Amino acid sequence: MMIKTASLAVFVLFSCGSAASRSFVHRSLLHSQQDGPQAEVGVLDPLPYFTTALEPYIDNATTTIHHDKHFNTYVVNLRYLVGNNSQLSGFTLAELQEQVGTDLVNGTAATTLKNSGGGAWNHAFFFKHLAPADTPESQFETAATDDLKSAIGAAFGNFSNFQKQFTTAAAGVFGSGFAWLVATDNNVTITTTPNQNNPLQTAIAATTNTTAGIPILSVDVWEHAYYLKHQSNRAGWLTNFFAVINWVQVSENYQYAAAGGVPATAPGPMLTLSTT
Amino acid sequence: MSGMEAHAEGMQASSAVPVDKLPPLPFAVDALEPYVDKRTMEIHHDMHHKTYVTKLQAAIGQAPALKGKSLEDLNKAVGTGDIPSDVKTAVRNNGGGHWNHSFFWKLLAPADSKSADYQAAASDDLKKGIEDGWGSLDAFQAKFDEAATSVFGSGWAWLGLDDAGKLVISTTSNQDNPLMKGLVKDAHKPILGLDVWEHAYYLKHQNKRPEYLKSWWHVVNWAQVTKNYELAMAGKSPATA
Repeated sequence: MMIKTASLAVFVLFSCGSAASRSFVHRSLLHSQQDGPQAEVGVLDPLPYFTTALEPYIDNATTTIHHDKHFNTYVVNLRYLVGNNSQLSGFTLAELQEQVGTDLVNGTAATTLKNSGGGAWNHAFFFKHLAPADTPESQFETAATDDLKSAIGAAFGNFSNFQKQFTTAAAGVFGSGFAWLVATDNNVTITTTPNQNNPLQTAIAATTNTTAGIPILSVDVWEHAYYLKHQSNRAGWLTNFFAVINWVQVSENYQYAAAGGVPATAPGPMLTLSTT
Repeated sequence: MSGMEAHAEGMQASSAVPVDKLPPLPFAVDALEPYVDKRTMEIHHDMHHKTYVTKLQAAIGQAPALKGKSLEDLNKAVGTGDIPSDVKTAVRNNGGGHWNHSFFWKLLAPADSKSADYQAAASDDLKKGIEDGWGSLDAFQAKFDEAATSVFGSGWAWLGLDDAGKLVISTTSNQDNPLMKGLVKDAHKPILGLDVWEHAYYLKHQNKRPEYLKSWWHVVNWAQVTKNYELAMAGKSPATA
């Protein structure tokens, strides 16, 4: 496994600089230095593609409402939470996940941190690893790095088996939740979470039979993610989902995770459809 | 059987949906328009509810000890030691889903029906129970809405009768319900329930759950709520068929 030290060094400097108001002793885990740049807490970033661009796999109405309404609500709720609980300021969006289930906040604030803090991170992460179908990014064979392919091969045998197992896990989530591909130590493994929990919320992972780890890929299986187009047919959603995964982003996510850092959720460049 | 005998038999026990049957809707799929849309009723009943029935059958197929138990008893056994561990999640989720939806369909009625008219259809006892609990119908509805809005993710809001004879509002997640005293902290005898899974309202209301709640109050079957209340007061189960 290659570690591109030069580019990682840039990101380490970036992430140190972004939290200069807090000394390292407040960071719960040393790996925060390796994290990719995070979306700013309380800020809803635009999508890296037009809301129509994921058609026909994800419909325009769903992408629009999912981002502008559901995601936005989590961002706003988190903004108010942090505004009203000073002990939460100075943490990045990723670091806040690691505070879920600790006694940094209690009572309803703890619930809001889990639900809306989780929702804010989850959607920033999820939307960033989608790409219009027919873009180079959406083609696994050419867009995924050798490192990612090796990790998937080692864990699942081949991509097809990975897709099957990921789909089974996602189909098996009862009620609202997510399925994840996570990196733990040097492996990748599939896990699930209920509601807006995520595998970075290490303090509570065991309570939901979730494997704690660094997310590489996710799929939202809340009904709002697919109901307008697929209604009760979650399997149809999961098939479509695989057509619009940004494997360049997933590979970058894996690279961060392999170095012990959380993938970036801060916005990057806009993706445009290929002209062919 | 004469009408009077049938009536007496009706008062003995409420009608219970079979474990292995999808009950028909008590009204046409478009009867709740414009408050609950036809397409939602079709998919909610024919797809979601049907899947719970099918999966519950599969679970019971693997657990002969559960054969012959009523749907209500299966729900009451959730969270106790009485359900074999290899099917306990399937029974909780699908037994809960089948009971919840069977209970729910009966508690809906066309908006212009007498059953949906609170003043005409709710009994004096029920009205008094609601006034005693919240002061007025409006205040009760506001509290119920608060509870229904507070459910994070998938779940239900409930009105029920507690052991002290008081009406209480509670919520559960996923397909859990107040019968599941082994795992729900506010167990009670439910008399009214509201599905707040996104599938119950997303086609018409998308993310706007408060709009769904406003619409739903127009089609609550207060006659059935009254029947469930009377049954609960008599220590009997609410109707699911």
